[in-house]
Amino acid sequence: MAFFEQHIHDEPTNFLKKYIFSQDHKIIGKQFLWMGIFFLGVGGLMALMIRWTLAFPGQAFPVIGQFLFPDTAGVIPPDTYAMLFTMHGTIMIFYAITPILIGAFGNFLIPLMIGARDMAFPFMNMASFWISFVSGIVLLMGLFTPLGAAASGWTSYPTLSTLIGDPGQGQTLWTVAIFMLGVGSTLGSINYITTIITLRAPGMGYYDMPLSVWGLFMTAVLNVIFLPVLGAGCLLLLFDRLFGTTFFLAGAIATNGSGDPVLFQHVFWIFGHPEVYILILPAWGIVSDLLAFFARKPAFAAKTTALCMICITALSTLVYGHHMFTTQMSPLLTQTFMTLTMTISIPSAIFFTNWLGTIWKGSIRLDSPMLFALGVVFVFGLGGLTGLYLATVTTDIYLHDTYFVVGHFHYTMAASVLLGGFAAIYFWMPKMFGVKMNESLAKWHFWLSMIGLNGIFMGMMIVGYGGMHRRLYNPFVYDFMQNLIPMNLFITYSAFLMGAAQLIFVYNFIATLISGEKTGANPWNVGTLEWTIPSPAPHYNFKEIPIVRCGPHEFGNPNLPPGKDFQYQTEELVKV
Amino acid sequence: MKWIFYHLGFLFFTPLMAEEHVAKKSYTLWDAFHMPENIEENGHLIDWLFNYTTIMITLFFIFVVIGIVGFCYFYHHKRHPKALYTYGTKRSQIIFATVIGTAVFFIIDINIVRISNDDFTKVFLNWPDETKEEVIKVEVLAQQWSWNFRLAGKDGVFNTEDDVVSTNDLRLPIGKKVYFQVTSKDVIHSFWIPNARRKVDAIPGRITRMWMKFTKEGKWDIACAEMCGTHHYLMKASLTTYSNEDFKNWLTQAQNHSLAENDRGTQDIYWGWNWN
Amino acid sequence: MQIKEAQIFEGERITSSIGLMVTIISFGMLFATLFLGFAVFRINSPVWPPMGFKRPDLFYPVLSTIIIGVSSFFIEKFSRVFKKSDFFLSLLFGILFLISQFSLWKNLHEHGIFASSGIFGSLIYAFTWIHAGHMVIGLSLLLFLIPLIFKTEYTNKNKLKINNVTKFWHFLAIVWVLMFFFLFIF
Repeated sequence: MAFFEQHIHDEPTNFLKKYIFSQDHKIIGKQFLWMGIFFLGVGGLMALMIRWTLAFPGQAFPVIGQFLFPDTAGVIPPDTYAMLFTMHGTIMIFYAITPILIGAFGNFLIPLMIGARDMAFPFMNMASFWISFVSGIVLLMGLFTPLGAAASGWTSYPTLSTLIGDPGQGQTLWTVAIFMLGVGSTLGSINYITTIITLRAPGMGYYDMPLSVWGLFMTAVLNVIFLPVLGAGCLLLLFDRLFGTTFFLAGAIATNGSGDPVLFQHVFWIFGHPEVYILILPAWGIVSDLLAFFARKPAFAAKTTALCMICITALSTLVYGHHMFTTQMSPLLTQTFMTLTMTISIPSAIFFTNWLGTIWKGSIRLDSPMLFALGVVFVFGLGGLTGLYLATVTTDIYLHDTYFVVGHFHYTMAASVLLGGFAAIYFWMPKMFGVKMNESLAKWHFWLSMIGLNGIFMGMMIVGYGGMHRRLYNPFVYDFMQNLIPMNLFITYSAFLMGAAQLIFVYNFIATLISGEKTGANPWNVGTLEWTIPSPAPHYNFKEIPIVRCGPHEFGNPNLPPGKDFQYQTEELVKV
Repeated sequence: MKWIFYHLGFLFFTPLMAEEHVAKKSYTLWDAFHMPENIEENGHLIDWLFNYTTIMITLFFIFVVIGIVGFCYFYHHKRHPKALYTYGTKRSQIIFATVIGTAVFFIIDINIVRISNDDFTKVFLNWPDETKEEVIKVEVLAQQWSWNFRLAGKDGVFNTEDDVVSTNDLRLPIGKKVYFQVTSKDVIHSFWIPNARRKVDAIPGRITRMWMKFTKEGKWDIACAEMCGTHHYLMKASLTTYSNEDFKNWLTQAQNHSLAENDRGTQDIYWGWNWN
Repeated sequence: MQIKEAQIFEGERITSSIGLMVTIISFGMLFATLFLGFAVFRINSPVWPPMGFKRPDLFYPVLSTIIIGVSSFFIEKFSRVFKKSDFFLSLLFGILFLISQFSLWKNLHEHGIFASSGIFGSLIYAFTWIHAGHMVIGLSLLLFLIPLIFKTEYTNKNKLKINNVTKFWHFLAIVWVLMFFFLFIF
């Protein structure tokens, strides 16, 4: 079904063209992976600094505190704290998850899984990476300006993010960086959509694509439509800061012609709500596939899962108002948003039935990618269900801007996406680098991470329930929060455990790259197209474009010859 | 090795000692599991709905966890070597999935929506009617980084020189409806009384509203629930709820106080607005 | 061989067509958000223009509209007939459009409408700046086409590139027409 066959070009020999300005989707994917992992570390360190301040206020941050904050003897000052949570959120969302799940795995997997030799627009692909990279530098530059980086939260509501609240260059640089990243991401997404539509191998209908590709497809659709909305919001905020326009400065429009801060919230969340689905859709797709691969049976109701993804994609555009219940929009609008948000639970519930249906009566192998995939099902179940409290107007009026929200979105975004990302790294390591990670270290990584993640985010939901609100430098100031102090300590200890567990991953990753066991073409015995070519994948991917003859989850077919429990997608479906 | 343990110990044990100095009463981990005491007449609606939602989702989640753990045990490849080859397209499977989906929606979602809607429109948005009962009107101005409160003085009109104006010190009676109009001077804040369960954003350029009826005397925290800058964490005000008697006494004193002391020349005190 | 090449080209044509459509939807969403903001401000304001501003002089907006219309006309003609002079006329008028935008801004300044003049000025300038930014992108695309223009024979691939740039150019023209109507007339 490919609209045309891409040529096989020679591999570039120039070092710059081969590794730096490469147009090969696999290299670009790896570049995104390095960028994402670097920023994950930076964002994670910032999180640890935040947790330290919350658990031990007034105490110097260990080891690097004295070096970073000499003026306050190593203690993190309040304005730096504001920068920390702002940058933590921004970095994790736009510079860690987006590059790893969407940039790295989107780029790497899509052409391989659909049987193409590269993306539809390789030059634009390269541009997308370099624009994102430069925007990351612009963002970090904010940390070195006199007044410091952006400090009005990753949501940067005006008027705090205008010159009234945040006069420094850091916030301006933040706005520019986000705009640039939006451009880079949009270019990437245009590529993904076009590639999936036009370059699927002959015989691969939409429902023959692995669900990972479906997830990435839906993510790209949302990206393309809603990132420009954020871009427009950022541009208007930038104009307010640089050129004195008054879009978001407050006042009555007719009398002094000023703007409306709440307009930014509308624009931001019209993007912001689809954004959270953008972040989770690839992980959903990957988990749906991995569960089938390791239960050795077809993904239960795979077509329904794909349809649910489309449904959630569509619904996510209609529900953004639940982030703004406390701004007192009209009651009708408020009620509408509540009801529509609730409807998202239907496709989500169907996801869960399909996931459970996949492992039901399977023949489950608990390899590390499977453990992580099951971990995603667990944490996303928890996180997604707690969304119900926040969708409900009356409970949201209490829980808005408390740690309950923080716990909820970290469960759904941080825990789920992180575990999904690790599952993907462990699973596709052989195809990316030709080596397989150490299984026992991986299992330690999984269990310690699970304990850490659940400790942190369940603890956060509990303190949020107890009333602790967000973005606080020192919670001990409040009487009503005194009983939450031990739980805050517990969360911080869990965070340190979580951080330490990632060192296991880093060690495993580096050691494997240096001296890991080399694998064959198909170490996991899975039938999707990327496993039909050698590991690591050659630069042209497929010597001959494959012809697809069956679905991606052909496992456990009773008509298969003994000793074989799966079929490649290029094989004819065995019948009696 | 010893060096590592020494420093880890230092990391973990010193803070525990610090904790004792900071906390006035020593709490355990389990004391975190409750909401602040409810002092508002309709706070129980939120508490009840929260608990109802918790029960509903716990049931669903237990179902999921039993599925994950159970299936991983019973269908582990050593115990169940041959997987069942199905695409989930059999009628029974489709019916099962549909039943789950609709059950979730109708039993959990619609119920919660209905209850919340009723609470929201019939109670929280049921603005007090001055003609039917006594309503205490309060204007709240949020600024970086404190709360300003204004009660109309004896003349009953806001923004006149006899208003009772205070910073970070709100005093109200129990048993009477209190009607807040809230706005901000600079950035977006959020007027939140945790013990009363509700908050409303303070947005510059517009006025938001909230009404409450307190049920218990005492001293409570007011906090700002929207990031508003470096000292967002210090935007703590105190709410003192009095019995009717005590409130009348306090109010009279405060009104006399303000009449005597308000400097008509200072523009600063005229931050109020006509009640609308 | 020729059939295979024709097939490959046909595939590339559809691919780039889809890519262009997605790109235009994406860029369109940016302008759609701006129009949303405009709608919110316009609807919530009891009187428009607000703050006692008078509507700007229509001369430069009309001039800009005519110029961009002519530019669109020439590039469309070029994409069908491939006469070199049409391309350069289109490029010339594209540059003239930017010049007319500068004149428009200067004219607005003379009438006291600045970017900092409340919401009225903010909207006009934000829209025209962002549109001008996209015109710069469009002009760069035209400049990139110049080496192709001078070749004696246009391959199918070259024609495809010319077609794509033409469609993008028309998109910018349509956005301008909408802006002209809503910002200056409505």
